[in-house]
Amino acid sequence: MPTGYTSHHPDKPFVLQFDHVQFSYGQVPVLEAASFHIHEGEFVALVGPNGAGKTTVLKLVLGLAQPNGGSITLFGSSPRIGRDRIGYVPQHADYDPTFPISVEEVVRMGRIRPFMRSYGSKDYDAVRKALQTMELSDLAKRPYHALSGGQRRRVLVARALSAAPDMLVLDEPTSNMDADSERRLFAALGALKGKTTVLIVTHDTGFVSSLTDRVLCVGDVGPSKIGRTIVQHRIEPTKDAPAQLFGGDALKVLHDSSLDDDCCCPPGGAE
Amino acid sequence: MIAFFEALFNPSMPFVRNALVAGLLSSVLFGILGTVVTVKRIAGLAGAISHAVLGGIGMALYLSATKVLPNLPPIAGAIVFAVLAALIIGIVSMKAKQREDTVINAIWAIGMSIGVLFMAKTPGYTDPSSYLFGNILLISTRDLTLLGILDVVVLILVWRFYPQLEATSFDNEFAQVKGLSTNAVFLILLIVTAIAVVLLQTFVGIVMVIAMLTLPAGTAGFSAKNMIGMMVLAWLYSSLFSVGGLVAGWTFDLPVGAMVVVLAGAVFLSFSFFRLLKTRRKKSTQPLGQSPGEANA
Repeated sequence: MPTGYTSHHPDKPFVLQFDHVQFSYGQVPVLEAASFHIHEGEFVALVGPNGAGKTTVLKLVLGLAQPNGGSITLFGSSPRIGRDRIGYVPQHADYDPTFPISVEEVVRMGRIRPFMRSYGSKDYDAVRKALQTMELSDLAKRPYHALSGGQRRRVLVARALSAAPDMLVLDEPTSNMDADSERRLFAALGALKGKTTVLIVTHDTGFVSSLTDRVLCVGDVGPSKIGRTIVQHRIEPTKDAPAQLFGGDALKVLHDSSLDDDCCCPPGGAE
Repeated sequence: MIAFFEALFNPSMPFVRNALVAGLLSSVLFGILGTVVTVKRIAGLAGAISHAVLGGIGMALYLSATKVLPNLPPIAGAIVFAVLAALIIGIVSMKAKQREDTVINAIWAIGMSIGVLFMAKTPGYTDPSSYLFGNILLISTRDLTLLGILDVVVLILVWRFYPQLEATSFDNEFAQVKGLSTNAVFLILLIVTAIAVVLLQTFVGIVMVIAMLTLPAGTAGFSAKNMIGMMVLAWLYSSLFSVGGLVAGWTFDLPVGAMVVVLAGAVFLSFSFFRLLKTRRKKSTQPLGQSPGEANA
């Protein structure tokens, strides 16, 4: 087993697979021959410096953008169908700061279905549970805009959890977050580990949370040196990480090492 | 004020009653659509649509006066232009991330210019000011019927699709990931707003429609706890401003549309001023380094 793996799930089926994905914005190439996969129950960090193409990968996973080449499989279907099983936590909700809405109403939005007319008792039970998980029950009736940045981020996580997703996708969950909110967030993610697949996107390329099973790095140039590709790096425990990071222990990303995309899988793949 | 109520019940002055009914029917749209326009931050788009409407009015007046399409009412041309403008602006806004502002402002200006050109070539005297600033004398029973129908349509749409409207207004990208047809919601909203703008301009005029789609909703936003509360409150405020503006306009012999907007603007600015004072007082009594959110976490 390669050095630095804490755990992974090669015996579990794929939930997400990028196969030689190519993507460009007009004439500007972004991704080239990007291949990676995530197994059910894994906790994966997608790291890369700003501008490397992390947001593009996220948009492709969520079906908000379409690849120019290659294929993406999410829960055995296209992202537009498979995303129904994803709980998405954006970096921040792009909302009007004067939008009158309570914390509970924001979380309730996670239960929305395309043609529903109103929320039912099952929805409200799920909202209560999600608020409890994120330690936000006391703030349920508070206006969303009155919360601190870290609290708002936890509300967005609760919104994603309220739909009991099979996979949680978090975009830069800890940027500008206070230490207390970060600790509470990772405590909640720790409780989900193994049961829910987690994909965290972060620009912090040095360290990742100790919950992480695998690290995927966006940024290395692709085979024909026009776009970026995605490489898997090793991780190892470290004592060098700042103590307040990730609410506890961190792992160091070994950028000088790379692993084959299928290194964790038995011959023939895991599907 | 007594003079207004005498006029209201005077059988020889039906236009006063029409104006009052138009104000009350308009308030439903000002309150509900205004709330959505405000929280979705698309007032600029609604402004462009409302001004482009003049092009349709001018064209209809020209075609009718030159007997190309005799008896074509200005409202028909206005609706065609409004819906076209809404579709162009909507598609540009969804597809093109660059130069969106330029296209929106171009539609705004081109629409108005087409209106001015058509009116200049329309035989007889055509005064654009009644369309620009509203004229309660021009409100017909047909206008009231159309306003009433649109009120019912908007109320039904909000009742049926409130969760989708709330989710797309708050966080469009998240709503899209949840499988909602956010583009369809956006286009329907723009088209309904476009038709509403055409019907509402009879009461306050093209130039001031956008003020009434934002000021009552903005005022309601100071105290509303959620979007439905904001809609109801904005509806209530709009009714007060409409009736108040009509009474004041009649009493002091001033244009009603402008009076309604001045009233709505004065109340909005007063609310903003008091909110600013309150926030400053709160900040000065709060311990240093503590945000309101952290204080109660």
